[in-house]
Amino acid sequence: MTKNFPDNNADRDLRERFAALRREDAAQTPAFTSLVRRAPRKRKPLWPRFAVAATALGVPLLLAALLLVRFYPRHQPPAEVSITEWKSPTDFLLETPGHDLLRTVPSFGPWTAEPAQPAESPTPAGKKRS
Amino acid sequence: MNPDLQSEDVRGELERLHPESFAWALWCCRRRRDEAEDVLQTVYVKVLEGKARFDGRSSFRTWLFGVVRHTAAEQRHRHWLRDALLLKWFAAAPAPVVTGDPEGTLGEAHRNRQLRAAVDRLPERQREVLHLVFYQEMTVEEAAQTLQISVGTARTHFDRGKSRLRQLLSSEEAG
Repeated sequence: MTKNFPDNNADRDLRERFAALRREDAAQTPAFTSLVRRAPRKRKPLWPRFAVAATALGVPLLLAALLLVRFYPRHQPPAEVSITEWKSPTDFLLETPGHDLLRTVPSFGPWTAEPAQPAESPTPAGKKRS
Repeated sequence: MNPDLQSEDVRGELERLHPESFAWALWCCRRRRDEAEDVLQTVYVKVLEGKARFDGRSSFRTWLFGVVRHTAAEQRHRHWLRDALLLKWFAAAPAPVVTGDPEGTLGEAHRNRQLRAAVDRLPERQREVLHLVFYQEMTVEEAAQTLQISVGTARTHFDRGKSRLRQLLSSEEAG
């Protein structure tokens, strides 16, 4: 049992595989002096990519907006209506059954005058004409 | 190692540990070679200019690996937007690490690729502990110091990582 690997035998397979990986990586390690000497890498600025992306997205959006503004039927405000012509949209609610009776004068038919009947004069009781 | 190192001594130590440091930087940068070189260069500048000072509380290598890990994390945070959002599409693809075997069907290179693929599927902490212990041949205690976690935690990650890695490797080899 070593200090590094308490379960040395059990981990032998993994240790060997990682050692192989280490051998492979060792061949690709850059020289120490090349990293120490070289100036810090200047990354390509990102703004040109932003500009391209913004243009690619912005131009079609701008065109679409212009077309929309140009051809979209604008909402016309309703023409002004004189107060005398104005009619409430809820007027129909007032039309109850029989409402005509409340608004018109009832008609009783044409009046016709009948000839007056002469009234019989009362005769004294017990008196008969002979 | 003496914390009162002269600059020549520090430079010598950095040069001696350079292959291991590069492998660790590569690991911390998800094997993006360009980023690993940038990180390691930044670390060397920090150390040589005295911005990062070795205080002698651990071995020089453990301390240096901690600086590498910290610097890689800083760089990752600085570039999180680029990595996470649309710019990932615009960014140049990371240069792949060339393997020694161009055929790549059999042999060590193939097995190494399998190992890398399996390790990539582990959680970050398990991956880091396994790398430090198996690849860098550190003790679990040194790995814990490098990662600034407790030894118990490091041991837990080590054990879980090992068993998960074995599962992944056996399933890949069977498939």
